[in-house]
Amino acid sequence: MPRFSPLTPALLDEIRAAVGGSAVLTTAADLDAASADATTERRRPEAVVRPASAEQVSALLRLANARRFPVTPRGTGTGLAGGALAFHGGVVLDLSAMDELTVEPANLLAVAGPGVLTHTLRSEAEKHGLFYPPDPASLKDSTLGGNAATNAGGPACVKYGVTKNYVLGLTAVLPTGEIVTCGTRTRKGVVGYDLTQLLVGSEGTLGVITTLFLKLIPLPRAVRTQVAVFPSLDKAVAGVAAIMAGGCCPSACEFLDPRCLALVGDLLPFGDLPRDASLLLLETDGSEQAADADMALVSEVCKKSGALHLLPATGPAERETLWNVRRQVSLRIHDAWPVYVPEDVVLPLAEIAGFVAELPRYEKKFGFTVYAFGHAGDGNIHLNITAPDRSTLDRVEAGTIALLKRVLELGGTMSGEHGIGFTKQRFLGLELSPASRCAQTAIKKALDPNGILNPGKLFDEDPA
Amino acid sequence: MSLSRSQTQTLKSLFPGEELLLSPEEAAPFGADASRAFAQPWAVVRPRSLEQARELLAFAHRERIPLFPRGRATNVVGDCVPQGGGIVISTLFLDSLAIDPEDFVAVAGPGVVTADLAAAAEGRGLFYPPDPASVRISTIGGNVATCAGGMRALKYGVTRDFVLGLTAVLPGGQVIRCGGRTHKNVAGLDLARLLVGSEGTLAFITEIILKLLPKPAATASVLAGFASEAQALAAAQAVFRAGMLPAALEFMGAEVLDCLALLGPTPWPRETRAALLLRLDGSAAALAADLDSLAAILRAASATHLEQGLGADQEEPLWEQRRLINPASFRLRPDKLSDDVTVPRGKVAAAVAGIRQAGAAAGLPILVFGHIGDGNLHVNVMYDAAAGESEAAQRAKSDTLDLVLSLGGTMSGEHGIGLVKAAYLPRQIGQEELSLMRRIKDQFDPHHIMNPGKAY
Ligand SMILES: Cc1cc2nc3c(=O)[nH]c(=O)nc-3n(C[C@H](O)[C@H](O)[C@H](O)COP(=O)(O)OP(=O)(O)OC[C@H]3O[C@@H](n4cnc5c(N)ncnc54)[C@H](O)[C@@H]3O)c2cc1C
Ligand SMILES: Cc1cc2nc3c(=O)[nH]c(=O)nc-3n(C[C@H](O)[C@H](O)[C@H](O)COP(=O)(O)OP(=O)(O)OC[C@H]3O[C@@H](n4cnc5c(N)ncnc54)[C@H](O)[C@@H]3O)c2cc1C
Repeated sequence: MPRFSPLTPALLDEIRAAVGGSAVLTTAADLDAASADATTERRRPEAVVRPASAEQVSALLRLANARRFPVTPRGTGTGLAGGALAFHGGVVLDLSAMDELTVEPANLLAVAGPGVLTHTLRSEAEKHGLFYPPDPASLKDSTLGGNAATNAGGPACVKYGVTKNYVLGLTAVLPTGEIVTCGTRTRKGVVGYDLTQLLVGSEGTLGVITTLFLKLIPLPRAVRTQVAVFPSLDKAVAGVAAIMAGGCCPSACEFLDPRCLALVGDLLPFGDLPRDASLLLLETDGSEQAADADMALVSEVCKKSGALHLLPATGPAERETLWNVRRQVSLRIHDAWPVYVPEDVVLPLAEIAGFVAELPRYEKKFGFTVYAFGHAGDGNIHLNITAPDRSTLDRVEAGTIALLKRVLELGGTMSGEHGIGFTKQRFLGLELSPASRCAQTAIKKALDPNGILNPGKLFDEDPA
Repeated sequence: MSLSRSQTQTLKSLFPGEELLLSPEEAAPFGADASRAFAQPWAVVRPRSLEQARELLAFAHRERIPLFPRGRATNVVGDCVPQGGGIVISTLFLDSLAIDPEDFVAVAGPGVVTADLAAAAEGRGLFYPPDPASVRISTIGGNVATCAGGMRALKYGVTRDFVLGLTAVLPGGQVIRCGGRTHKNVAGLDLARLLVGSEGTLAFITEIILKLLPKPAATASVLAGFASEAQALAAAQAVFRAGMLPAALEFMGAEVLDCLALLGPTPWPRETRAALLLRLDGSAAALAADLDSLAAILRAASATHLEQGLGADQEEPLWEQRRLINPASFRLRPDKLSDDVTVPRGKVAAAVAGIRQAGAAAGLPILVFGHIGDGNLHVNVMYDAAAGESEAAQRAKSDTLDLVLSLGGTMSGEHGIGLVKAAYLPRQIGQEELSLMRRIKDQFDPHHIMNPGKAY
């Protein structure tokens, strides 16, 4: 017996009756739009529901639970793990229309619908002299609901923490239709199990987030930016350690390995660089005095650690230019290689350089090319595994597994930002012990007894 | 009820020597905590290894024996009281500690005293920010299980924000390892965060991996007095508006200042009706300038009294009055009901006024002070039980909690629920949410052996 019911015309009518006809979309264009995310996977849902309220979400999930059809939450589909794709068909629940946003300056708080774009919140907060730090590179397109569901991170997280650290509370609809409010609008709270933190990062498998209470902080008045080029990645990483040991936590600390630097070297004024040269992009922030003082310390430490070149940004435009170098890396990799597997592993900080130095061995063995860049301050390395054509996919997969195993051996994790979703689900057993997976599955079953919410993601077997 | 002979035998074989306390006299000190409630434990065990904890939780699960994890019992909500009887698991000997300056992590047994960890980190030029006032007498395990806060929470966050990973034993004996030494991790559900703040009701934590930060090179403090509470609160907002995020921001209301005056001379002039204590941290080069900016902001916000200190020697005297609140409070009445409510930041003034009314209605002094930057207020209802004021005090407490909830707040920002507040829980947590928490509890602990009677 098939686990899920297909959306027959009769069932679609029931859905329309439950959520209101205008929220249900079934044209080919609607279904196509909901069938892709930022991975290469494509899955067409049978219908798209675009709600405006938690009550509609609740009505849909009650029906889904009674009639056993799958529901897959979706923000704007910028996810890199296939989390928003309907692998079992059914309904894609598109939350992008729930985009109400209120900034409460007196409470240093934002109350946001899940469909609000990350960028929108950041700029609204800024108008009030406030700051929402999480800054995934996708911030112009991604939603806060998606950010919370994946616990998104970004360059600012080394100093300010990830999305999780900013979610004070939320309203969510459970797979069985109950609307629950967890956490608080307050900056502290320890009453009850921390359901908020359980839902954050659960990739839409435990509940649908319908409101977020987000913490804001005062906007730092000044930012300083600088690029430093080192003769090797080893030296660059040692530079980062020395900066932090000097008592300064940079507000961004990105690195490019030699291969990435070579790819974008033309955008920088340094001319020919040594073969192993690596780059750091560093920022400090705070009051004018503090940002300057910290950047002075950064420069001094970089010089002592053997930096070949230092290039400070003299103003906002120059800052933008330096960040563009960093952004160009992914684009150029993407354009240059037909096969492109973006992994985002995290290593204990001391293991970064050693691990990157091992990459050539894997490249040789598995016939792929790896570009490594990422967040040096928190050990999050984007490993971009590339190959010239799809005939090598089997070796790419074998090599990816070998790399992930090595990361885990070194005490790392297979995902720091993007999540497990569908694309990494088959690897999860490498990292989590059976006892841990069992506890996770038990929670999933307790909340979603019929396994209708985002099936095929994160969890190994669909709990049924 | 108590342990059967064969159960006692099992404990003896699992926990040799001083790892097991069986006599009522030896066990009794493990029956109370800082809430002053008491219940006699059947036995106290003090494991040294994960293996022992594993066997204990398998055994207790099989035999349906209640277990009560215990750090140093400084919680004020009765979290450690073995109500109904059972085995107390003390983390005293689970006190291994390693600081890794390269990875910026500490790996600690749950029994490590928080201040020891902070000092060990500092010795390596690193920084563990969470600083509950009990930092010298409470453990990391207890801090994690209660999600302890502290003054630095405003800038750095609470204990939760520093837990990168942990190892825990579930009822039945399964060992789960969540997270790890990496500073980010999104692989799977965040079980570590679920265990943080669970007050010993889901699992027994045997190891904790904590994130450390670079140690700020310098600190500075300001004490500011104001003619009214409204002015003090407006000044706090002005600090944020200027883009400053202090490492601590403490508020003392009029009643607190009057109460401190009972102990001796206070640094501020008589007309002062509210005070703020602020701390900044950062690089030495910038701090002196930041301190001047801060003083200027406070002055512009009509502070009538200002003292500043750069570096610990100059700062400590400024913080002395804050530390004296507790001893001074008992000059008012011999007994105290204390709460640590939290309201949305913009509602602090309304909360302070409403709590004052509750005190007036009950005819009792209430002290309000605390981490105002987080909206986290300590509320001390002072009363004299011997003079028959207990009922009035309970009424004032109950009114305060209702007020806080009506302002969109929470009845506990730091201390948790435990026994003491369990009865109030339904006022804050709705039916659906409670049922969800119970479903999770049932998955972890189907026989309800972990810290029964507490919280959920
Ligand atoms: C160019 C590019 C750069 C990126 N850079 C970063 C980066 O720096 N850091 C980073 O962390 N990620 C990054 N990402 C990944 C992605 O942007 C993030 O995962 C983002 O948080 C996803 O948001 P979204 O709205 O697109 O969610 P979607 O992709 O639509 O969904 C992602 C997951 O969240 C679930 N979900 C969405 N909304 C809800 C809701 N309201 N309730 C419950 N579940 C929900 C979905 O079911 C799915 O599992 C990048 C992606 C791209 C394409
Ligand atoms: C003077 C004083 C000042 C205080 N100031 C603050 C403050 O500023 N901020 C604040 O947040 N709190 C404060 N507290 C409360 C208290 O110190 C904290 O709650 C602290 O975290 C408790 O630590 P502990 O080691 O004493 O834990 P205990 O009281 O022994 O235990 C607390 C809870 O944790 C559980 N537990 C302990 N170890 C484990 C383990 N290994 N596995 C599972 N569960 C475990 C226990 O079962 C219990 O439920 C203060 C208390 C006092 C007496």
